[in-house]
Amino acid sequence: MRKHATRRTLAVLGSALALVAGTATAETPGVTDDTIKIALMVPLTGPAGATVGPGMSAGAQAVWKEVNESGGIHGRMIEWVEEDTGCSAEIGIPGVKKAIYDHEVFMLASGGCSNEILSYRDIVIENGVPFSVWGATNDKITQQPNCCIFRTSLRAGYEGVLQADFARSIPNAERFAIIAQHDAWGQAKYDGVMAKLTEYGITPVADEEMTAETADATPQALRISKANPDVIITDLYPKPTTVFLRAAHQYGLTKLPIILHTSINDLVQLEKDVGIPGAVDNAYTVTFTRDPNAPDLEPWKAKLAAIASEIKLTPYSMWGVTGASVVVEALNRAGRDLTRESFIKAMESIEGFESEMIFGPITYSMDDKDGNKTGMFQKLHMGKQMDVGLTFKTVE
Amino acid sequence: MFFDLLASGIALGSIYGLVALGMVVVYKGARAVNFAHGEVFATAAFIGYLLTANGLDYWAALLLAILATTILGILIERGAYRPLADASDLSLIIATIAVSFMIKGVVRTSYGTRGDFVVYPPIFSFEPLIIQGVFIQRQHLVLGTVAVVCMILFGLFFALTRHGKMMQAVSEDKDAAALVGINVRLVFLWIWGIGSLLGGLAGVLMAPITLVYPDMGLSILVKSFAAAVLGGFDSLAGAVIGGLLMGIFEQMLSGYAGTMFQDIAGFSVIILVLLVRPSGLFGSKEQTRV
Repeated sequence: MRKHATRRTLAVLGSALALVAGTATAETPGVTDDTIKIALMVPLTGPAGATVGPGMSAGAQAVWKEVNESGGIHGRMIEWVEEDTGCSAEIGIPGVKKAIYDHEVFMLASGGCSNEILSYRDIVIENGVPFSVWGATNDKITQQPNCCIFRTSLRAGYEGVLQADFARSIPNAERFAIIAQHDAWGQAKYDGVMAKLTEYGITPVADEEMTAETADATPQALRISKANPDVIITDLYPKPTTVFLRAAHQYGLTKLPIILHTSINDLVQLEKDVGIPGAVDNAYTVTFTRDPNAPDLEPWKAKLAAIASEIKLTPYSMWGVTGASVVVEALNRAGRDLTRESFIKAMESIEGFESEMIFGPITYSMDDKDGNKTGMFQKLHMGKQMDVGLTFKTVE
Repeated sequence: MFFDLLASGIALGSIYGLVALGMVVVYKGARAVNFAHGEVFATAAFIGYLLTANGLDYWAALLLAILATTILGILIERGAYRPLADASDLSLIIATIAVSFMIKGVVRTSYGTRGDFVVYPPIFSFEPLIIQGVFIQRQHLVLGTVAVVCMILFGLFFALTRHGKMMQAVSEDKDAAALVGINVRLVFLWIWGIGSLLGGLAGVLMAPITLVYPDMGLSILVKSFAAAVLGGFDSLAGAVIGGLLMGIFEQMLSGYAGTMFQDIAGFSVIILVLLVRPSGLFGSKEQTRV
C-alpha cells in the first residue's frame, strides 16, 4: 500500500513537472520540445531580391542544416520560414506581422535593408522578439532603448568613421570632398563621416548630393573638380556610384583616391558596370567579410550549392553564415530552458565570437548590440580585389 | 563649367524632349495625358536589355523593343483608353496611372532576379569626345540628333500627310471626323501606338546612360511632363524645346546653386508654368489644363 502510494506520488509529481515544463515551452512562441522556429526576413523581390536575400538565406540554411544533421541544439532542431521583405516597408511590415503572429516564430533573423527594418522596428520591440540583423546598417536599428535587436554587420555611422579615418590617413590629403545620398541609408554613413571630420577640424571643400535616380552626375563632378580635392568620399548606392564615376572620370577625378563603402563590395563588377578602363583604379571599398576565394573557405561553396545551385560564396551569403553562426552560439548558451529572455541574455553574453567569414570578432553587451567593429579596406590590383588595411597604403 | 553644364543639359534635355514628344503626340491626337508613358519607356529599356543580353546587337534590340512598346501602346488604348474615351478627364488620368502601376508590377516580377540595376551596353564607349575643351558623350550626341529628327518627322507627318491630318481631325472633333468617314477607332490606335513608339525609342537610347531598373519610368515621367508643360502640351516643337530647356535648367541649377536642387527642378518648372503661362511656351491658348 505504501509502495503504491509512493509510486502514485511520484507519478503525480512527474506529471506536474512535465506539465510545468510543457507550460514553459508553450509560453515561448516558436519553441516546442524538439524544434525552434526562426523567420528569415529576407528581400526576395525588389532591388535586393536577386542578390542580398537569396545569399543571406542560403548562408543561414547551410549553417542550420549542418547543426540539425549533428543532432540540433539541446535536442531541438532549427526550423525556418522565409518571409519576403521586398526591401520595402510595404512588403516588410506585413511580412514581419505574419512571422510574429501567424507563424509564431521564436525569433527573427537576417534583415537586409535599413529602410525596411526601420519601418517595422517598433513592432519587433513591442513584442520583445529577438532579431539578429545581418545586412542592414542604419544606426537607428540598434539604438537604445532596444530590448532585442542585435547586429552582425557594420553600423553605418561607424562605417562613416572608418571612411573618414582612411581618407585622413592618405599622405598629404588636406582637401576632402564628399558626395552622398541623403536618405535613411546614406544619411547615417554621411553623419558618421562628417562627425569624424569635424572632430579632426576638417570642413569638406565640396559636399555634394545625388539621389538613386540621378541620371547625369556632371554637375556633381564639376563642382567637386572645381573644389580641387585630394580625396573623395562617396556614400551612394551602386547605381548612382556607377553614374558618378563615369562623370568623375571625364574630369580626371578618378585619378584621386575615391573611398567607397560596404554596399559596394565587388570592385571587379563595379569596373565592368562603369565601363571605362581605369575609372576604378583608385577606388577603395570597405568590407567586413573576407575574400570569398580564400582557400580555407572553399568547403562553403559546396555547402551553399547544396542549398541552391545558383548560390555562390559572396559577401551576402557570408553575412548569412556569420549571423546564423552567432544565433547558434546564443542558442547553445541559452540551454534547454529556452525563452526569448534567456536567448537575449545569451546574445548579450557573447564576447569575442570568431567567424571564419569576417575579419573581426563579434562582442555584444546589454548596452551595445552592434557586435561587429572590424572593417577592412580593399582595392583592385591586377584585376583582383586586395586587402589594404584600415589606413591607406599603395598596393604592390 | 558653363559649357560643360550646357552640353550635359542639352543631352539630358533631348531625352526629356523625346519622352515628352510621345506624351504630346497622344495628347494632341487623343486629348489624353498618358501617365503610363514612363513605364512604356522603362519597358522598352528592359526588353532591349533582355534582347542584347541574349546576343542581339544594339540596333536589332532597339527595333524589336520599340515594336514591342508600340504594341503595348495599342493595348493601353484598347484596354484602358477606349472603354473610358467618353468618361471624365479624371477617370482617364486614373486609368493611365493604374496601367503604369500594372506595367511596373510586371517589370518588377520579371526583373526580380537581376539585382539593384542592370547595365545596358552602349552604342559607343563611355570615353567622351572633347570638343573645344567641352566633354560630350557620344551616346548623348545620338540622343540629341534622334530627338530633333523625330520632332521634324512628326511635325511633317502631322502637317503634310493624310494620316497626320486625320489624327488632327479626330483630335479636334471625333464625332465630326467620324461623319466624314474617318475610322476614329483606328486613328486612336495609331496615336497610342506612335506615342508609345517614341517612349520606347527614348527608353532604349537612354538605357546605357541611366542604367536599367524598375523605377526608372517615374523620374523620367516627372521631368518629361514638366518639359511638355513648359513647351505646351499640344505642341511637338514645344515638347522638344521644353525638354531641352528643362535639361539645361536642371543642370545649371544644380551646377551653380547646389546639387541638392537637381531633383526639384522638374516640379518647380511645372508649378511656375502653371501659374504664369498655363498653355506653355508654344501651346495653344484653348487647350485644357493638364
